[in-house]
Formats: sequence, C-alpha cells, structure tokens
Amino acid sequence: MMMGFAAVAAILIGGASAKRATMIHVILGTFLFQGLLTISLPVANKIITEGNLSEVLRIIVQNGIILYALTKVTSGGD
Amino acid sequence: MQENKVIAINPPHEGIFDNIKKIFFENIVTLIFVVLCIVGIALSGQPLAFIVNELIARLTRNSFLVLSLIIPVLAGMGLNFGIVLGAMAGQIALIAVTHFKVGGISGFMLAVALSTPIAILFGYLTAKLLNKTKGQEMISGMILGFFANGLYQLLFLFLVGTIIPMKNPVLVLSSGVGIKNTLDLSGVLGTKYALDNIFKLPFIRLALVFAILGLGFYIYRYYKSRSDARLFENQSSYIVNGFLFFILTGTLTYISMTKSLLNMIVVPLFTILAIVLLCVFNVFILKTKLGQDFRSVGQDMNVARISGIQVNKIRIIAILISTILAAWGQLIFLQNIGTLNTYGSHEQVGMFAIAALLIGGASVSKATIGQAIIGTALFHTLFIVSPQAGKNLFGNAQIGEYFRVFVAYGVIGASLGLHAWKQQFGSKKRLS
Repeated sequence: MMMGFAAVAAILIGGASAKRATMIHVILGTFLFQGLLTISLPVANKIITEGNLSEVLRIIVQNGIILYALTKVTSGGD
Repeated sequence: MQENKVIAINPPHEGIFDNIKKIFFENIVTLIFVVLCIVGIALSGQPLAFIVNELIARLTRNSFLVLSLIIPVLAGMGLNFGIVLGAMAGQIALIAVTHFKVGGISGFMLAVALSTPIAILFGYLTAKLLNKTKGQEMISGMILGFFANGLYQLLFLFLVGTIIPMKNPVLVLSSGVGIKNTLDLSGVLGTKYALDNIFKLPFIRLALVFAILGLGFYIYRYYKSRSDARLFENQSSYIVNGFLFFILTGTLTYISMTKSLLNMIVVPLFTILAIVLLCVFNVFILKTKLGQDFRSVGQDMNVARISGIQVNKIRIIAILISTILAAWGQLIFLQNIGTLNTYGSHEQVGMFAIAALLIGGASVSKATIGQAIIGTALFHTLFIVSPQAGKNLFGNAQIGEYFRVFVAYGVIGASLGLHAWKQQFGSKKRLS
C-alpha cells in the first residue's frame, strides 16, 4: 500500500517538483534514495545494535521529503 | 382562473416535497448507515442490553476525539488528520506518568497537565506546516502523521535508554533500549479507568433525567412561543421535539419498571461530563469573536484577510485547540482501554475519528456536535455487530472485520469525492 510513497520520495529527492519531473530526476533520485537506505543500514547497526533503525530512518526521510514537496506547491495548484 | 389556481396551489406543495427530498439527499450517508446498523443488529442476533452496554462504553471512549475535529472544519482546514500528533502527545505524557508511577485520577490529571504543553508544541508546528500548504491541509496532515510516527518510533525505540536515561524494567525492553510494545495501565499504579470509575450512574436513570429535562425545555419553549412572536415560527418544531421527548420518557419509564438487563448498565459520569463540557465549549467558542473569525476564515480566506483578520494566526489557533483536545481525548480513550499499544494506539486515531464524523453527515466544510455524536454511535454500532453479523451471514467473523475496514476507508473516500463534486457543481452554477 505504501509503495507509491517510496517512488514519490525517490523522484522528489532527485530534484523533481509537483510541476516538473524528468528522467534524470528519476534515475538520480532512485540512486540517492536507495543508496541512502542501503548504506544507512550497516551504519545504523553500528551505532545502535538493537532494532531496525534503518526502517525508522526510511519512514522519516520518505515522508519528510513528501511533506517538503507539499509545502512548495502553491495553494490550489495555481 | 383555472391556471391561477394551479400556480397558487402547486408551489407550496412542491416546496414540502422538495424539502423532504433535500433532507433525504443531504443526510444520505447517515441514513444509509442507520439502515446498515439496523440490519447488522438484526443479523448479529445479539441481545439489546449487550449492544447498548458496548455502545455506551465506546461512545464515552471515542466522542472526545471525534469532537476535537470540529473546530478545524469550521476554520476551513478540512478534516484534521493531524490529531494523530495530539494522540502522540497524550501517549508521551502517559508513558511519563506510568514511569513516575503515579496512578489513579491524580496520575490521569498529571498526564493531562503534561500532555498539554507537548500538544501545544506539536499543534503549533502542525499549524505552521498547514499554513504553508494551504488548500491541501488534509493530505499534508496525513503525511505529517506518517512522518511524526517515524520520529515517535525513533524517540521510543532508540533514544530512550541511549540518549535519554531511563531505567525501568517494567517499561523498557530487556536490552535496555526502547519502550516495550504494550504497556499495562491496570493496577494501583496505573491509570486504567481513572476517570471512568470515579462515579457511575445507572444508564436508565440518567437517560430518564435527560428525557424529562428535554420535555420540560420544549414545553417551556412552547408556552413562551405563544406570547413571543420571534419564537412563534418554530412552534411546530417544539411540538414535534416535545412529543419525541415524551415518547422517550415513556419508554424509559416502562423499561425501568421491567426487569430488563438494560437496568444493569452503568455509565461513567465524569467521562460524560468531560464530553458535555467539550460540547459546551464548542458552542461557546462559536459565539465569541474568535469563533466568528474561524467561520469567516472558513468561508473565504481572502475576504477574511481583507477584512483585517489575521488568517494565519486564526488557523494556528484552530489547529492548536484541536491538537490539545485530541491529546486529552487520547488519554480518555486509553484510560478506558487499559493497555497502551506504544507503537500502534495512535495510528488509526485520525482515520477512525474522521470516518465517524463523516458517517454522522458532516462534510469537509461543515460539522456539528450532533453529527459527531450520531456518527460515533453509528460507526461503533457497526463495529460491535459486524463480526457477529459476518459470522452469522457468511460463517466467518473475519468478513465482518474486513467490512468495517472497508467502511472506514470507503466513507472517507466517498465523502471527499462527493465534496469535490459538489464544489465543482457549485462553482459552475455560480459562473452561469
């Protein structure tokens, strides 16, 4: 159900906005977002051995970036 | 002459018919759910006393949360999915109180006191964000709920025990980092039933008092309306309402005479008092300058701004009030449930409260106290009967469960769609 969220977050991280999105945004964003998730896992496990910090980090980054994009859309889409 | 007569007779006749049609279409959602509830009660075959008992428990548990949604709706900010943050504030306070080992009503009041500043902080941040996303408050609020959930998990899963020192084997996981998944609030040091158990009254007697008061009120109004010209036009509604209260009084008196199980049901007086106080507060605030500002901002932000209302400030106040009330509402909810599901209790709060409000007949731009209470009652009646009804109908209680999840999401989706459609229809009408 939350599949769309990850995709939206990835393209937004790539530099897209609610108005403009290109292929480069897609490739770059997916690379950065998935890279962050992949790299953060071992790092996070070094810091705190218990639990799944990487997953919590994913939730924060993913929803944070969508929220940021929402604040950049002006009222009513005009 | 003949034609004249037709014209003279027709309009009022059509007026009544149109009125009925209008009432029917405006309350279509509520009516559908009334029918669904009646069918569900009939199918489940559960005794009435059981259903009423469950319903009272759920009404006292959930009404506060649903009522906390009303003010942002009036301020034109839509349904406040941000109450999830208020619920989180309540839970943070409750975890703190459980850690301090303060139980009973004093623990509950301490939790209320602790949750308020946290809720003010959360509400302020929410409002700041929603002011930056005008026109799409609902989706922003929803994503904000997910985002805040991430931070909440970070706080209680990883920061407690590492950065925040906390040594409490009851609350903290065995590894020393993170709060346990479920916290038991029962016992002397817990806050279970802290508010509910202060004083309990038999349901029938309380309802009887209510019915007699209502009857008295309408009789008084009726006699007043005979001399007062302003009240005269409402005279027929007084008669109808008074008659309904009379029937209610009669039925309740009859039930109290019999040996029905309904007489065994008790209601938590102070919880109900809290809900009534909130209703009074909601009515009161609409009569003040602030309430009028809410309404004008809700009707048209630009006009309000030109009239000298500080729109952003009013919107911040609306969300602040809603978040604080949601924090208290979550505390009332949890003291009744008795166990705190640390990472789950808050997740569905927004969704269920909003679904309940919408079932009551509210829309994105209009909500009343009556709609909130009726909606909560209908939604939770469905909750009570749907597993048993599903079992009787399909031989599987799980189908009833699916049905109520479907109802919760379905009613939110349908209501938002209907609202957008009505708005489009309205703007087209205005243009032509």
